[in-house]
Amino acid sequence: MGKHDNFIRNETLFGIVPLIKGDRKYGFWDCFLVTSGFAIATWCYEQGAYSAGLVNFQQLIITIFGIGFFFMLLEMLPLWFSTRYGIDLWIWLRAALGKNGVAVMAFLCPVLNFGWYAVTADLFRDSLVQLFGVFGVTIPEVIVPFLGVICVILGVVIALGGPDVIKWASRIMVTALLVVGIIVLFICFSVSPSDITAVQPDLSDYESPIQAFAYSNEGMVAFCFSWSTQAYVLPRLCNSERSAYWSTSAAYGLIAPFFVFLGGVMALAMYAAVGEYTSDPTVMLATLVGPGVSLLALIMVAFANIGTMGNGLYVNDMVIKSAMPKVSYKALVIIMAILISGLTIWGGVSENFGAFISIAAYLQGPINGIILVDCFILRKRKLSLKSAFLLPGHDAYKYPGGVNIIGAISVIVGLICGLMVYNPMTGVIYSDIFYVTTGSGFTLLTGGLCYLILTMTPWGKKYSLRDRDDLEIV
Amino acid sequence: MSTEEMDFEAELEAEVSKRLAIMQEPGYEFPTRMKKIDWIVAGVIMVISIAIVEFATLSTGVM
Repeated sequence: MGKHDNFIRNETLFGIVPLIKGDRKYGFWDCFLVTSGFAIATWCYEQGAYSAGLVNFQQLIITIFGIGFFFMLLEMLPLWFSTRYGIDLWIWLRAALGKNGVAVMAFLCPVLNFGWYAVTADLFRDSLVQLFGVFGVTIPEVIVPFLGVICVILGVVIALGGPDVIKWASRIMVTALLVVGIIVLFICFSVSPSDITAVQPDLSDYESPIQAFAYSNEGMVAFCFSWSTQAYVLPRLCNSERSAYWSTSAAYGLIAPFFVFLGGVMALAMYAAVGEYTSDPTVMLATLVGPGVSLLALIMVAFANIGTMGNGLYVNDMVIKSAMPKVSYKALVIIMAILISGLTIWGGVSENFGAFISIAAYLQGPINGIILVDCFILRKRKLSLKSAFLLPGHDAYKYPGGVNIIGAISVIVGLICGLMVYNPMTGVIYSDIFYVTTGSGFTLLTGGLCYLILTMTPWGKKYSLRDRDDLEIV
Repeated sequence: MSTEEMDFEAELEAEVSKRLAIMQEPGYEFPTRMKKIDWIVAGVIMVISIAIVEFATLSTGVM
């Protein structure tokens, strides 16, 4: 077995086993910095520009930080078990969804998250187009859609390159993202604040301002949900529940939204400076700064996107592999790369950005609801670790067909209820509930509530809470 | 199932059992718990954040 195969084998093994005292090395700042590096991807700018096209400046602050704080602090509440028992989300979810249920969801969630990586490939493509534009070269329209595939291929090279390549790609990615962040910050300060705050969005395509504001809120909730199923990995390494909770919440709930906010301000600055609205950060960078800085920014965006792609393929495929250890890592990387390439050649992800992120969030919402209810209300913060790891003689989480039918029904109910208030594929709002909870937020509420009600029935208790006399490690 | 897969499953089960046995030992030191103040602060921030969002939604609707 080669060095790389050993690495994947060990990563898979140690991604599944419970981490113990000697493995816990991260304090608040370690976890905060590493998680922040992962959280500040280039799509933050796309997300900010998307919101800026829907709301005014004051609403932009509220939608980004209000939603960001609320949902990230809420989603991260169960994080304590990740630190205490050194386990990932998917191990606890074996109790709520069953072994095969987890395998299906741990596959679907990263797959749906790959829409974000299509955005990454699109941004890489756009940065190349802008870069060539700086030198006066126009790339033929026929070739443009395929430029994003270069980013995917380079991402595959990183993801398959082994530990050293991934480590160096991460360093380059974080450095490039920070350089771009500084340039964007400079842009934000270079335009008069009163010009930025005075910009009003063009809402001619919307029925009312509240509808546009609700779409922006929906986008931000979906953004928050996108982190939820992969946020439990690093806190396993933390030395206290407190440092894990606050560092992870701050990275995803404050730092990532701050970069989203910068993207929004950059979009407003673009409008204030040239009277033209665009949601493409590479066009903004090329337009708003001088040729030299623009060149540097676009090169950095290109590098950052390659690094994000490589890391994304690695992290998401490791999530799938931790739920399905027998599947080949290389095969997973290649399958995902083909999927992302297809999405970027199609070119519809960035155009239908709001729809894409909401579709993924509609699956992650019920899971968030289920884990909150399961962890705090039903199992009262006590899990049978031996049953969760399916050890012989500990069968509390063995369900017929490997699926906890209550968990499966709850995911489906959450999904259907979400679709009954808002259809992310068509953008049609069916109920005023959307304005209060958003569609994605409603999937969390209804999925969690359904799980609670069904499990609290006498049959549900017998079926799902068989672990109460098998709590040896608490 | 291939020999390699069986090896992996056996290795995984052995490693998990070993680690859970360590965690079950008397005196094993779990990470320090979240304090009451952490839960309160998180709750307060969440309530204020969502209240501002809902208030802004209502205000936008009135506008």
